[in-house]
Amino acid sequence: MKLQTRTTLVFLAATIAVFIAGGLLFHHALREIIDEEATENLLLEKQRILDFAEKTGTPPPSSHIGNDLVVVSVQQPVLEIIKDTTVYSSLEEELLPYRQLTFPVAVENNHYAVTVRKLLIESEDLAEAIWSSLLAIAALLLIVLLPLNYFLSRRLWKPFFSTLDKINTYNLNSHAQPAFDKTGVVEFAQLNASLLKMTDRMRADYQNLKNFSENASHEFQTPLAVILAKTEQLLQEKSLPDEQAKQFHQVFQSATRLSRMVKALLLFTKIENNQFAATENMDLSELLREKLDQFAEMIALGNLKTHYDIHPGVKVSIHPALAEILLSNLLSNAIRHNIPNGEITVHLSETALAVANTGPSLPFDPQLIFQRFTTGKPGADSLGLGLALVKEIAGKNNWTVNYGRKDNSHLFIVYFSPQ
Amino acid sequence: MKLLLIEDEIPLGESIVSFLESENYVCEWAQSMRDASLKIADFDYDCFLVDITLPGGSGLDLLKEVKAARPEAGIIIISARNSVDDKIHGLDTGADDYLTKPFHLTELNSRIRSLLRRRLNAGENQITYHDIRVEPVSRNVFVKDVPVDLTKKEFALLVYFITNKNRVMTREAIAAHIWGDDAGISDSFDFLYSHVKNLRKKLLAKGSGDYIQTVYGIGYKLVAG
Repeated sequence: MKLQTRTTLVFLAATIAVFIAGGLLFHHALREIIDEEATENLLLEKQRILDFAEKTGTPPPSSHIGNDLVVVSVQQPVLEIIKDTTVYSSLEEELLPYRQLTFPVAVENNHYAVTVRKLLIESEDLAEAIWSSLLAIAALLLIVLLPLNYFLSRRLWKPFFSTLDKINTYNLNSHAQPAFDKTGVVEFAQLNASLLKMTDRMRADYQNLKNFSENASHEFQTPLAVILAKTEQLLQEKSLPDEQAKQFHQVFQSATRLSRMVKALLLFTKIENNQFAATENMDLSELLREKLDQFAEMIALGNLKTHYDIHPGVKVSIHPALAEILLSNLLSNAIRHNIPNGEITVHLSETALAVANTGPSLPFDPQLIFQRFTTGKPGADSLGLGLALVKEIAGKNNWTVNYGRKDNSHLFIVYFSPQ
Repeated sequence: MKLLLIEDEIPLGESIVSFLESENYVCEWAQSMRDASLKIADFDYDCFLVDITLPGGSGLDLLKEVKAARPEAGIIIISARNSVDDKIHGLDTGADDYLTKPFHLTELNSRIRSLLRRRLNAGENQITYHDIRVEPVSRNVFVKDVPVDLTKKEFALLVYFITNKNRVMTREAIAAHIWGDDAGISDSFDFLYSHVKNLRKKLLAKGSGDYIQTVYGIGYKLVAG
């Protein structure tokens, strides 16, 4: 949920709550005042009637119209009682609320019970009046304040969104700091300052990591070069017994393997570090033809039947070196894991590249096929990094690569789009 | 032929020097920038092998000195730095070739020979080995003056074998020479075996001696007899 929406909702809820509470309070207060007023009026009436009785020496006459004043002759003086009651009104055809006061009047030893009544305002009428006017005020308030709040927030948060935008598009590979807009708001200025500090540190870390990868490559490869050179020299010794030559060769092989592994892992690091971020609009059809040419010899040696369907002029945006590695790895994988006199199928369209080869089913879980160091033949020439690289390159380029098995064939499809 | 090796890693330098001397080169060795500068100015070399990362500077700076002192000499960079940018930069600065560490000594030998052939045109417009004659420029091969039809890879293989004659060449080194970076990612040894088999068959068919010897489990060796 957007901040804007959230604050608006909170604002709305608060307004409604305040108006309900206010309405109740208002209703209660008004009721109280009206009640008091009615009681006061009744007491005033009582005083007038008592004055009248004293002055004239006769009881007050009952009102003949309506029932606002009822005078009844009684034996004993009554107690003064004030209470609320309802009286049926034939005019409105309903019971109406009244407040009545009954009090004793004594005139020349005769006792009378006098009752005066006052019509109260109907509760519902009152509530209706209060709530409808409150609702109108609330609506007016919202109509004015909501847009005001919306536009004001937008203006206030503008520096924040600008900063967010800058951070989103910031590339660690660039050597410049992100250029945040100047803002007079302390909180946003603080945010920008913190972000600047953070990106500075990240850039430094990233630079260190890049340097480390490159230095690591140098530092690893030099001792490996020594091992390889020394063993290669030892192998030249004419007096070297066969058994020892074999052992030296094994040292040599392992060092070669280690060197290749370091190179491959370094490549992974470089891809992960976005060091191949500079993409070009590559003619993949042309590159694929070139690669197939390079592999033609191996394909011929394996006596493989080829089925090529390559749409001309398929353009994709990718770093050239990565495109080459991706194609090489897919093709060499299809050749090396083939069977003698097998088949290899390559299909390139605007949306996808499919490479299929005949071969026995996988000796491992197909889900592991793109994982690093997964190999069919342990200890073989393979490092188990080729397809992992394919996956890594595809992922970095927002492409999808899938593996499937169909009619005794392995099928790899690279879609030039995120799935 | 006089070579100057500029390399700070002592054990590696020792191996390279001893290997090249056994190939009948005169090989001098400089272990620092200063030492290298002095040697470049004082002596005539036909070829320079330059490591880029040296204590006290970059080998790339030395390239300019070499170019100034000996413009016709060949330069091969040997470096552990393996990025495309480094390679392009090195070749732009005047190097003729770029070899990434770790490399095979037989590969280094092959690169030096090939460079010297191209650069100095030192009477070596043909390479011979007993009854085999190779013309590198026209890519023709003759056995007792009878032309042999070889594929590109077989030709490369033969030149590599002759260059490193009498040496044990490991399968790894040969595969790396023939397929370059792709060697690692394909089962190249089976393919190598086929290539060697075909090459040997073609040479034998034209009446050449059987020189290609298999060193069991390790690689091959070109020997007469």
